[in-house]
Amino acid sequence: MYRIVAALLALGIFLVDVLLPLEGAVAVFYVLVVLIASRTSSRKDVYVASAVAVVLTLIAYHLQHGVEEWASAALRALVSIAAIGIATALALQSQAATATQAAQARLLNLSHDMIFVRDIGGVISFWNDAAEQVYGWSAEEAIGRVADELLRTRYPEERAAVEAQLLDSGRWDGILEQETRSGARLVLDSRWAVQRDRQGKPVGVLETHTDITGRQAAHAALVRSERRYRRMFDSSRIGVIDEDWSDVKAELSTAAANGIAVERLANTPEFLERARRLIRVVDVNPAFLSMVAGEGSTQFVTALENILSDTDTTLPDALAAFVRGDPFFEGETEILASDGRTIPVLFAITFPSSSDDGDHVLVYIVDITERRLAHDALQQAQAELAHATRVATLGELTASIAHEVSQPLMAVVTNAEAGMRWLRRDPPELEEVETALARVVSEGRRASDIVKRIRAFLKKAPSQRGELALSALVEDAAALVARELAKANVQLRVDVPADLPALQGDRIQLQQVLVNLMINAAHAMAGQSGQRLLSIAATQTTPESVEIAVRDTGPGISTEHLQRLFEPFFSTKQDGMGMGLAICRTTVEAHGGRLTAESEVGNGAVFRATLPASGESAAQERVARAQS
Amino acid sequence: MKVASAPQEPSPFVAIVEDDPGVRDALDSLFRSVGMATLQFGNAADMLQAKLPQAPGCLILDVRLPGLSGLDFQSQLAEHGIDLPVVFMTGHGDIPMTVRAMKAGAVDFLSKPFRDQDMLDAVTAAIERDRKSKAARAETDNLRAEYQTLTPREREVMRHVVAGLMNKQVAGLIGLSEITVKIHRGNVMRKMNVRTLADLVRKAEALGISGR
Repeated sequence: MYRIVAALLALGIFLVDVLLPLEGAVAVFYVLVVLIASRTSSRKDVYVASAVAVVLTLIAYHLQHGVEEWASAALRALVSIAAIGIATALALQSQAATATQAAQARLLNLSHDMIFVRDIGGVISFWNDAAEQVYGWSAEEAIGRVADELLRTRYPEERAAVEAQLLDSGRWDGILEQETRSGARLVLDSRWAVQRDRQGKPVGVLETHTDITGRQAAHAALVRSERRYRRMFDSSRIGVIDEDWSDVKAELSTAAANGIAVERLANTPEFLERARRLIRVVDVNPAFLSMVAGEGSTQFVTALENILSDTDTTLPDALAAFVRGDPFFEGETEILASDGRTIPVLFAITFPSSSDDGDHVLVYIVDITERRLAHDALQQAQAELAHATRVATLGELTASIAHEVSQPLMAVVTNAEAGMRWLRRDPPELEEVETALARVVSEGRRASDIVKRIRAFLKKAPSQRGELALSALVEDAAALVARELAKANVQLRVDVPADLPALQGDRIQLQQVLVNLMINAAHAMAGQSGQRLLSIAATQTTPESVEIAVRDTGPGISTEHLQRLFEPFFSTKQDGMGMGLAICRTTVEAHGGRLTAESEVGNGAVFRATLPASGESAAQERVARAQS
Repeated sequence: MKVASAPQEPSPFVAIVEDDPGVRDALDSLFRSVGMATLQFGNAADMLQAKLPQAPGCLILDVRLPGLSGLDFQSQLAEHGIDLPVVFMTGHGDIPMTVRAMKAGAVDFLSKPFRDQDMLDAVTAAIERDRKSKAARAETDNLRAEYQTLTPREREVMRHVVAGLMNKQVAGLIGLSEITVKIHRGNVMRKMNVRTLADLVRKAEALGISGR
């Protein structure tokens, strides 16, 4: 375009110069041609235009004046050529400056940030590509508008303050909000720089804006999340301990590298002792602090040993889980309160899932004191109820018991009287006297044993676990009901092999179970004319458990009753309380066993109490079995 | 008790039926210390099967003996031909049992614990009663044997005589001569081993023979 204009202009000037007989330096106008050519921003064009202008000037001079005419005409031509030269030089310079500016502008356009230049009054004079794209206004539309109005800029502080800081220091940066053409609000990280003239007077402001709307949102979400987790940590009713297991991990790794079985190591008392010190407590939350009633965070808790009670048995397993790389471990243990109390707790440990977490382990703790108390209270209530049932059971046996106690007493008195009569005979029968006295002693002992047995049975004692010989247990129970069985004409057969392992349990409670089962069996058979056989057989069913089967030859139990047999207050007896079997089952289950009933109508009933064998004996049994 | 009768009579015995060996042994010792013979049984069934001496005796029994109700026991005794007085021992609160035992014909009750003298008295009384009943039974048996020797005609004559009829009336009633009636009557008096009419009437009463 500029080239054609320049060419036509050059042609025009040439023709005027040649054809019109004008005295003067028409060729000077070639300067215009050079200037127009320079608008193409191509240096070549400037050179070409300049060369053409000089050539045309010389041709025109030659055509008009020939070679011989010098003087003023030649001077004019020279002036014209000089002018063209000067114009060319200026055009080239200007073109170079423009090119630099354009290159700079292109650079600004390359930026992803929105950049615009405005004067002090806010009128936009430059608007880059990113600004066009993000804000939605083209450079043409934007230039000449006031930036704040166009973009509805919202400042974090007073606009005047921003301006003041800008003019004072020459720059300002901060977060501000602007609106795009489509109305979307952007959060922008903004940096301003003041452009000054030589006198130092501010002439423009370069504003660079980075869209941080997304980043801001992500950050805000992160902050919220962090705050939420912190809140969970701080305000949770669950105690949380942040522990550092890196030292213990290092020790375990070293041990593993030296070929020591880590799981075994984790079970040695020495290592456990070390581990308690090596596991450092980094942070605890307020819930944990209030649980142990300590003052201020981490003042007294620096290591696990400050927290974990000596009664703990879970640490070896927790270490083993950690070594295995389990994500999770939970258990029940006791922790130490600041006043030295121990608090029963339920805990869950989450082990680090990735190396990002370092070896930080979070332990969640719930105080189960109340639950424990409730459990204890329940046990207490159960014990009371069991006692009440025992009293009731013996109440049913009053007549039998009265008889049982009066028998040896009567034997004592009668033997003594007989002894005196033998003594008074003439001559006294001393052998008979001795026999009678020996019987007095043994019958007296028998009476006291019976009383002791009944008192023990009626004792309202808290549950006491101990090792119990099965045969003695069955024998004692049988002794309590022997009379009652005899009265109902029930034959008792006891089959308890002597080599059975012992049981772990409360003697009175288990005795009560057997007494109840035997009395039930006796009562079941009382009304029938057929055989009345009650058999108690103990067998070892597995290495860890023993079964006591109480079998009768009574009328059996209907399926319908069988299902409800162990329900509290279920009774088929006229005056039955209905607690006997319910308590039997609760008792057996509290011992870690099971109580079941089987029956076929017309074929008697069997009650099976399966109880865990005492640990030691069961272990011995296993060893013996392994050896044989 | 006449001293003279002692050698003739076998010594009295006490049969103790008690399932508790302690009590059984004590009672055994007590009875033996006063010279009584004893028999021990652990349960009623054994005693019922046993052959008991003919001597006067008694049974000592606990009302709470397993598998025994007083009435059943009484009928079982009868079934086995045992006719012995029973002394029951009762415990505290055994009133219903005691009542049942009484109805079943017990002679005495002793509440446990009892004094030895009470027990011995009760047993002695029971044995005496047995002795008497055995003696009475022996007398009746004797009488019956005497009666068995009478001919039907003599029994007929006796029935009329003890009813208080004169010989003449008897003769008229059964169509015999007075002389023949007199002979029959003499035979009856001799065979029945009586001297007076009053004695004959007493024996007839004992035999349950009513006049006419």
